[in-house]
Amino acid sequence: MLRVLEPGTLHGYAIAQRIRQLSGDVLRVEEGSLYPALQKMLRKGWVRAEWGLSDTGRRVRSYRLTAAGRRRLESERAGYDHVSRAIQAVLKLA
Amino acid sequence: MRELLRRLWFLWNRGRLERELAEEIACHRELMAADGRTAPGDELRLREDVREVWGWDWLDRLRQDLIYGARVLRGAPGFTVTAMLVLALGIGVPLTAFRVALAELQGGPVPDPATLVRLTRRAPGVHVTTLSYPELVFYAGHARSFRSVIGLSQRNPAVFSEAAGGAPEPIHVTFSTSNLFAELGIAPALGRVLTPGDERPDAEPAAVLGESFWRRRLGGDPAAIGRTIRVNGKPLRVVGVLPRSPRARDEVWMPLVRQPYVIEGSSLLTGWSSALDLYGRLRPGVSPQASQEETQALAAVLRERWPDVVREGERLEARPVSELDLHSEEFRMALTSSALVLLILVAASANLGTLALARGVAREREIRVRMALGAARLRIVRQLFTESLLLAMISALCALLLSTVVLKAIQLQHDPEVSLVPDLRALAATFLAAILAALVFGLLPAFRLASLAPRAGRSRTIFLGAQVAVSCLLLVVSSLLVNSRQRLRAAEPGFDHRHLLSISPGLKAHGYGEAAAQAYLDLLRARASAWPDVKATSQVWLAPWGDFHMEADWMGRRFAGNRVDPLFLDTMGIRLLRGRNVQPGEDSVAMVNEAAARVLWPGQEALGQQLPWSPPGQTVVGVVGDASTAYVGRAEPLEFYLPPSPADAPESVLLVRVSGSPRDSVRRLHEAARALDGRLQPAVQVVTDAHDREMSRASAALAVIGILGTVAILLSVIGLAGLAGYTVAQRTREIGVRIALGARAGHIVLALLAPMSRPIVAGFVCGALGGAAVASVLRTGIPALSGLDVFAPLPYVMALAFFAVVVGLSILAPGRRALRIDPRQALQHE
Repeated sequence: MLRVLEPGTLHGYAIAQRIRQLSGDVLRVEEGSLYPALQKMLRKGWVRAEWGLSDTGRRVRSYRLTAAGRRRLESERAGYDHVSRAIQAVLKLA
Repeated sequence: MRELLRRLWFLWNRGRLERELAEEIACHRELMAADGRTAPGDELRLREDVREVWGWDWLDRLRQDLIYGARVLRGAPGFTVTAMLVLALGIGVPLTAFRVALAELQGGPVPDPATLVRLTRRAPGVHVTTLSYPELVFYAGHARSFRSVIGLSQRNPAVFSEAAGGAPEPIHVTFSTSNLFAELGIAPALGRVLTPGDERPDAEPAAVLGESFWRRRLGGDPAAIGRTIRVNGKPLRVVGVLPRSPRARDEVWMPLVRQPYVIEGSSLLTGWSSALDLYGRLRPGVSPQASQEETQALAAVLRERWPDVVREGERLEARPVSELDLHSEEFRMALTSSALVLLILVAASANLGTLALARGVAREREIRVRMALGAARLRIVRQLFTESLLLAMISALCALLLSTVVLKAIQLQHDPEVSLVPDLRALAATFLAAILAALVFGLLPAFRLASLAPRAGRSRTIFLGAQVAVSCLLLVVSSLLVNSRQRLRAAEPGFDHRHLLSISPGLKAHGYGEAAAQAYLDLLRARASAWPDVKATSQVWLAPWGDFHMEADWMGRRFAGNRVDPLFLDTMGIRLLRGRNVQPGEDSVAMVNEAAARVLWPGQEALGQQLPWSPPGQTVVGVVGDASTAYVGRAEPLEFYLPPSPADAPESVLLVRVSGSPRDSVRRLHEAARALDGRLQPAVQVVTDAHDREMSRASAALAVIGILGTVAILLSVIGLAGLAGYTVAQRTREIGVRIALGARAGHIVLALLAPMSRPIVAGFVCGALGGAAVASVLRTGIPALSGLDVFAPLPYVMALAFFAVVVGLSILAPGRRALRIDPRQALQHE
């Protein structure tokens, strides 16, 4: 979700849509995990929320990465690269 | 830290956050619907999950539990009121005792008590607890171990009057060095304390008043500071008022060096025989042990100059005041009394435990339903415990109120200075007691109900046994005390104390020598004997039932002694049984009373024997009737009487037996003593007063124990009734079957009693043993109870009978309910 928010501001439904789209319909985030996760990120200070108007003119809450959120994303990314390289190495070996 | 702040922000903005979340979800669903999909989950569940992220779900649950608990408690007013009554008593009684104790201890702690030491003279085989003024000066000047040495002399009798010549009043004066106030942490309530400036010979004589005295005698007037008062007729300037504390009981405090100013002819500052209490403040890093080594060397120096005053190998024993004397009588008494009042809390908690278990049966259905609807066991336990905690907290508030009411009663009756506003320590104690009680009575039944604890039987047995034991203990103690008091009332001290006065002229303090003192006493005695209503007079060393005692320990028994003249027996009304009286000028002879003779030489003739303790060689020439002249209310007084010694005269006391009321003669005797020497401040005592005082002390102790006993019995009745009710509720069907099969009333009642019988018997035995132990401690602490016989069977039988009645009463209602069970209904019930 941090990655999806990296380029700019998105509202909740758009985040879910974007993840689905990027993953080629493999990853689906439903509201049951989306909103608790967003609230947790708010609590940790990784994202900021603000109310605005959507393209259709509806009042929506959109989320934006903070500096802390970017740092977190970088460290997650580095950690993931590290682990995935390790897994690939093991899989190739096998 | 930042996260905590953010969390608090979440808590603060909850309402808005909830609304925003709802809007956001609604929006999400709308957009989903526009895409032609439907939301899979439940919205409520989602909101709960989000709330959990906010981190305040426990608060929600607590609130839910509290609301639910309050509703449950309101729904069962009978149980709630009973439980609150039980717990309010259980917390209120110890709380009141605690608050009274706090009031006693007010005045603040001694600063740094570990380095403040009590100094006493210790030489091989000798231990003297007081020192003289020249010794104080010597050690204060030479001992490097001490930053300061404090000397004081308390409870010196004197006469107070206002400068304007108001009515004279006998008071007690403390003379102390001025460093005492700083070292003991006594700050003035008003004005200032004594300072080194007041000790200078050219300073104006200053005095500090005790707060109680200042309030009582001077009306608590702040303008009393700077006023002139008179002690023994000598003018003194009041400079301050000391707050009331156990360390400041005397009415007037003065610099030690001013003692000769108010007590004329005193040799305190020059003589070696004065008795001062000494304390030392150790320098940083100096151990009491090190100070003892130094004072041993110093004492050796002092001994070179004063070989007959200082003993071989003498040192000042230094014992930190913070060290508790675990074997002291006071400590044991304090421990016993606090244990007794805390037992009430134990009884109340155990009691509520049985009640809660009993109620559990009725609530089992409710709990099962909730569990069937998906409540987790732990959640149920938490909810039930919250309910108990709520109950305990409400009861704690009631207890606080109760103790305040009791304190108010005490305040009205005895002591106007007990504070009614609970301080922090009292509040903390209240809620600590409530939480402890809730833990005891709430947790076990909660586990039981949630089926986490396998058997109700055992917890019930423990609760019941504990509460029966406590109730029986208090019952046995009360019973023993009532019994002993009746015997005490019946037993006479062995002499007629109703028509007796003692006068202590205090000659020694005014510098009387032996011959002068004897001459004075002879003269006073001649004057008194000339009055028509005086029947006999006697000169003795120690006043009967006074504050001072001569004692000898032998074979674990304590023998009280006195030096008496030949008229002592006549004046006191004690009979000479065998042998002869002691004569003045005689040495190495003694009389013993019958009880002492029996203990010392069982089965032998006491006449001609020698007293076994030192100094040796005192031959018994007479055996007299038993009388308790040293202490009030000794049932078996062990006493011995020695002939007078000329050296005693300056400290001696005159006993005067009159035919009328002794109170009429107090003033006459006082005036007669002052007429012979106007400097004296004689203390005249009506001997019976000591007896009455001791009796009222014993009565007060008895009243308190009686109240505790009553409360315990009340708790027992409630607890047993609850338990019997529980049994009936649990076994309704079984009892119905029994009745249907033709069981008689007796059988049913027996069946009810059967599960209770073992814990009751076990509790009773434990309680009786504990009661005997407590009573024997009380016996050592309260002299008037010393005649108490712990092994007398009657009190135990009485307690047993009383308790049986209590058991009977408590199962009356549930038993009747059991007998009224209709078999048809009982069987259809399930």
